[in-house]
Amino acid sequence: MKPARIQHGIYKNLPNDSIYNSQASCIIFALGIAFKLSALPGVIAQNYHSSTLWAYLMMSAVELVICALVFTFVRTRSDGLLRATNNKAYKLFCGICALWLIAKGTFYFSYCAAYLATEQFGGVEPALFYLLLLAPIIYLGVKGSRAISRTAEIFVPVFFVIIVLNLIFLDTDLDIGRNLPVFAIEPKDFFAGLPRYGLWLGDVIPFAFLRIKNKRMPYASGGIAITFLLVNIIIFLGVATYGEALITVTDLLIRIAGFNQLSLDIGRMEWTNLFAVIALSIISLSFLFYGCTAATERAVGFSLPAKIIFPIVVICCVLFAQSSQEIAQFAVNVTGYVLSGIAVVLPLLFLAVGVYARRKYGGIFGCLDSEYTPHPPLRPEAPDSLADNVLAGMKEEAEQTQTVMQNGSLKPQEGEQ
Amino acid sequence: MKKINIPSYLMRTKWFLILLAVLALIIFGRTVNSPALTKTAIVLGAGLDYSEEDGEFIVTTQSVLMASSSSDSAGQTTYNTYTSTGKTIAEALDDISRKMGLTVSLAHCNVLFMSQSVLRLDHMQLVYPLTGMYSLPEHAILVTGDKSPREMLAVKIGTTSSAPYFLQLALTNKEGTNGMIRTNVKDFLARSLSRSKSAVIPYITLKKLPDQPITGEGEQKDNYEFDLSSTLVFNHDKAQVLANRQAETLSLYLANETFGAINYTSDKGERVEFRILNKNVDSKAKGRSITAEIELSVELLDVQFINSDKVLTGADPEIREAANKLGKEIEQTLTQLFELSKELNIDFLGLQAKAYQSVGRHLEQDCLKTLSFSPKVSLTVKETA
Repeated sequence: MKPARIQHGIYKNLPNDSIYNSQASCIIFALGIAFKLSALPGVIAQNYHSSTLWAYLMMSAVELVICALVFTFVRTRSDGLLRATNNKAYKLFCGICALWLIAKGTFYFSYCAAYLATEQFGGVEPALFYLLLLAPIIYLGVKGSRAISRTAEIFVPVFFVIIVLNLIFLDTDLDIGRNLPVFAIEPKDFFAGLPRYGLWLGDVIPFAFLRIKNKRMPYASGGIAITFLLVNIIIFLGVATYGEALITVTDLLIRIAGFNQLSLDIGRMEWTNLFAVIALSIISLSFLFYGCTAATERAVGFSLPAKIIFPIVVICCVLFAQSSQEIAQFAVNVTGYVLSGIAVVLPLLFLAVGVYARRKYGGIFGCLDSEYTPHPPLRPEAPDSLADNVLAGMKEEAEQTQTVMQNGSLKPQEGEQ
Repeated sequence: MKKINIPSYLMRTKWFLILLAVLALIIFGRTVNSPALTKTAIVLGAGLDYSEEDGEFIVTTQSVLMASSSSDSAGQTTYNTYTSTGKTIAEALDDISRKMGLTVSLAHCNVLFMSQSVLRLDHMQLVYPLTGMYSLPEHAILVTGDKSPREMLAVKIGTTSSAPYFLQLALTNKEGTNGMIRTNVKDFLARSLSRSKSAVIPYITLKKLPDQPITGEGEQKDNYEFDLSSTLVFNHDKAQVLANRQAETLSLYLANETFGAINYTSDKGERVEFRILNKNVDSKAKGRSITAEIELSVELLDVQFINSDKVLTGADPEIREAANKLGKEIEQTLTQLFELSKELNIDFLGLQAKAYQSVGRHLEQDCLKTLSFSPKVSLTVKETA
């Protein structure tokens, strides 16, 4: 069967909590760029010096494993089954996930507010800035996956082009040897210290609560590959450009745009990446907020508690703490190890409980899934060659129905993961 | 009449976003003191000095006023130089703001004058507040000189009234800088915080113009010229001025791009001038041995005192021989610079940072004397225009 054509208005026809793989790739890009390329390089460089790139590569490897686990869970379409069967373990894990996402959202918000408020919006009252930053995050998060994915789909390609152009026009004195030695600190300290940065792991976990509909091209895997490649290339160039001075860089993506060779002719160019960082931070934080509401809905049956608690916790923390830097630094302590553990274990638990449920409720899974899967159109494509008065398309459908009755599951159709 | 569910209507449309934007603008407009451009002093150049007796920073800024509200003076450019002291750089800058009645913005400051006393302070703490809180561009060029930053900023250059503007043209825009090294704020910190703990910046010598410019109103007085042919190499403890061929050679080795001309004079007095078209420096470390291969592409610019009855071009053996000898001379100068860096214990060639990349974390601090350095220079003469 040919995959369904993407037509105008099809986004509105998508069921709730369903997005296209192209939209997923845009969200992945936003998550990767906004959080990992702003202040994190400077934070890591304080402890890792010339090993910063290698620490990033290690973190990318772990993040790729988490991505693989989450997208395998999505591909098995276990979320619907676990919700339909009222699985208690899944409810518990979703509850933990919701709490973890609240903590993550609070730390990330403080982290974004710290580098945006102190450097880019110096002189502005922080509380006012927090409220203004939080407003679109809440709006998008409450609207749900469709609003977030459409926003990402509109903005991300533009920012991708801007970031790549800034790299192409990069003109500065750089020494790629500054990425050496690999172990600027003792190897045991190198590996033992990595989990401290657990806040930056597991950003893709909210995808577990989404259904991803595939377009023809493998956008999701492509998006993951491009994002991780771009992040590590920028870190590579960042260390080559700044060396030990990377510790003074509060936002690498913005600073690197300052060395654009066009800036001699048309003025400072940092604003190009500044817009990218702000917009991508808002998209990313709203995606985490959405993940929190979706997890809460699965845990307690409705999402209202998360919609109220998440913004209140975030705003109270940043308003009542002495500074947002204080909260962000707290996340890079023992808390980081806890966040790392949860980021790795949660997708494993989701997958385990999903596989278990699929084995236990195989029959239900087939019926449940057919509810979401559109039946193939009953269009005779070719005349029946056997002349038994049954058209080929009908035969195919009959065979499929028979398979469901026998195995309790539908063969995945094209255009559906 | 159709009943409209307002919250749902807002949630479904773009009006919420527009409302939010309007709200944000109103709040910002009413509560945030965002200075207008006419109330902002656009600083072209800033100077930092430190008085060790008083323990105070002496900060000087030269700013250009964008426009005047009075019609009679509209269109005139005014350069204002203000100096103030403070326990911190920020305090001094705030004081300058008060004196001027304008908000000081370093966002367009492309030249930062530093005195040698300031260079002995913590480099990161010196620069970080300026790039962070005052938005100093990281590509701003650092310079020092034989006079205080205050004096350097206040002088009138023959071609322009503003010394920072002249340096901005000469250093940032790479016009007329024969063999000058251009160290920006980022490179200064990158070198200073590396294992080498040393940096290199242009050293400017101030000279009064022997022939003052003449206008319709007569001869103008007190015009100066900047001599840009020297370089200051320094770490936190020591500093040394390098001039002429040493400064040029150092620029060839360290600078990202080198422009201008370089000459060769033989023992017999034959002189050949080459223009640098391109350069490629490949510096590698193998343990504690550092090798540097410098490939220069040059074109023939001028020939004097060569005994020849034909028009000489880059293809002639005399010119090729001169290029080879110039290459050897640059090699010798680089070796001399290495010996000088060991003698002064200022690693201005950045060799410890290079060795660290190869040896790794076990390389001890302050190990310049244990390193070896062998430069190799080759010149390729391209076609003469």
